[in-house]
Amino acid sequence: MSGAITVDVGLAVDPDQLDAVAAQLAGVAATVAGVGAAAVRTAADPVLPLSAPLAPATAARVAGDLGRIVAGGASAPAVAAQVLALAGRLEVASLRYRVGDEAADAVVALARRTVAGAVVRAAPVLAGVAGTLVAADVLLRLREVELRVLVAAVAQAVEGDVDLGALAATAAEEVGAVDDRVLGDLRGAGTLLAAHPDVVRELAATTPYVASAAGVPGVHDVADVAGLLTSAGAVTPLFRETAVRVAPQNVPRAVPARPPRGLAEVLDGVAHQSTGYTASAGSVGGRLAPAGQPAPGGLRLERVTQADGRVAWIVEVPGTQDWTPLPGSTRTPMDLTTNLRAVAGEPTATGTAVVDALRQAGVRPDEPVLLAGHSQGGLTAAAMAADPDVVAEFHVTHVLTAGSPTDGLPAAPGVRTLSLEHTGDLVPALDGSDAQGSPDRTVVRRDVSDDREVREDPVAAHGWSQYLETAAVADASGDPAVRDFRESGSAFFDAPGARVEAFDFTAERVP
Amino acid sequence: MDPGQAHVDTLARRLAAEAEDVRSVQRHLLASADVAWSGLAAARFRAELGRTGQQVDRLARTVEEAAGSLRAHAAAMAGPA
Repeated sequence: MSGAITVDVGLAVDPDQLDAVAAQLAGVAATVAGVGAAAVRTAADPVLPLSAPLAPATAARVAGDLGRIVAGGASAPAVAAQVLALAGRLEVASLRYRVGDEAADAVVALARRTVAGAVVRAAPVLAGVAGTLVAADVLLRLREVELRVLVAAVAQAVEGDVDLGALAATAAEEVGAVDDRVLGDLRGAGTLLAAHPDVVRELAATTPYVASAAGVPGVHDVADVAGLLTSAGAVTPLFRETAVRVAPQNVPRAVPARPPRGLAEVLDGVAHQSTGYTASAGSVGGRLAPAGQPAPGGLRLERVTQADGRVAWIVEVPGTQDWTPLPGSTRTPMDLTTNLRAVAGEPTATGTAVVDALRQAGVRPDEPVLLAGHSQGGLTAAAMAADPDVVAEFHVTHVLTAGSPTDGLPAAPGVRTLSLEHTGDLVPALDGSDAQGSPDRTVVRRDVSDDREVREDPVAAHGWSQYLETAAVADASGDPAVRDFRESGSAFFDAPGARVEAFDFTAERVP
Repeated sequence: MDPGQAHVDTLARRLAAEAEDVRSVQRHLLASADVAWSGLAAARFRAELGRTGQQVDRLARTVEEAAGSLRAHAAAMAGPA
């Protein structure tokens, strides 16, 4: 027989020593967290980006190493949060000795309620690297709140009795202060991200481990992390929803010559709204007039009128354009906040903008609507198709998504969905599950791992250019499910005598 | 060494000093195991302390590697010798 044993002989403790060691651990945590800040300062040094062209390989290695210090399961904030959790254990033990189990339990419950009060909303996905960057930070700050409440309780116990009312006030003050602390941290994290976008790839895969590494109970996967992150909106300016304003664009851009002839041409309309689009990408089938990069926040509606007068609408929603967790910082609603809220099943600024655009364009309740989007755009489309208010107002019949984590969003009855997903694309996997097909949902998967672009840059597996190819492959496949999707949506596609008009809008957040 | 290289080298030295700080507090962290406390909760605390110590060690290595990468970058900025 072997293995470690634990022998419990009852309480044996020096509470003063526990308090002292807890304070020492808090100091350790501060030093560890300070290393993260130092890494951010280093990454933000202006000489580094200027020096990168001289030695790009070593510059990339520096960025990756600094990124690991700032974000991920072994990052400085995550480790610091772990250390604070240990300090909290000591303070709880100290309290138990000083005031007994019942009073100590009440304090622990208050401290946890304080943190839980901050974690008020649950969202089952995280779709952003900036979120990853701040996740450990937010958790660290919440751990600080918890420990400060416990330390205050110990101080009260030393003086006499624990006053839960006074502790609650302390807790409220501490939670309020999280705003300022996270904002300060965020400035640094945002600076790092802006200076080193190449760090994104390395960080994307680490998300699920951040919170669990930080010692937060019940955090097992991306969904739990996202819930914590979304909750940050309750106590910080992060992810806080804003109003949105939608205005028609007066200058035509990428005018369509005809209705789309297949999935690839629909998705191409989406790609033309992406801020990553450039003129060199051209247009699938030459359907859209040559165009350059669009402004952020662009949405397009195409009104397709068949020869017999039937009218149908295609809505084209691009992917995430702003990865910072401060909504409104760049005005576009296609941001990280929308990502989190969409999967949480909450109203989003982008969804609101699309509904507004549909109303402004005069879409009638009996005219079929196809919602199409890439990445967050697909997430928004799926969320809208699952929203009873939206499907009550508009006749949403089809949804086309590309690289979108939509598994938690079952569309309303009667809505047909076709989802394009790539093996190796992290984003659709961010909902934590493999895409599931069903009679109403067709999932088209393609392994792009052998593609040269993807071999050189795995992030390319998520790009719309790869998904355009996949859509073209699906169009050409003759697969019965794909064919059925297209035939059931014939009102949206080109046919003899059909014509199309484009309605372009710009959506922007109004903080 | 030109001013740019010297600057990056300074960044490397500062980060290396941060790594030393982490190593230093790692010792404080592990010393916490000596606290006069026994019982099941204490045993769990010490087990968690061990895991956290490993995490701090890993972080220190990462910071040391980053400092090393910065030094290598400073050297590479000069181009091939």
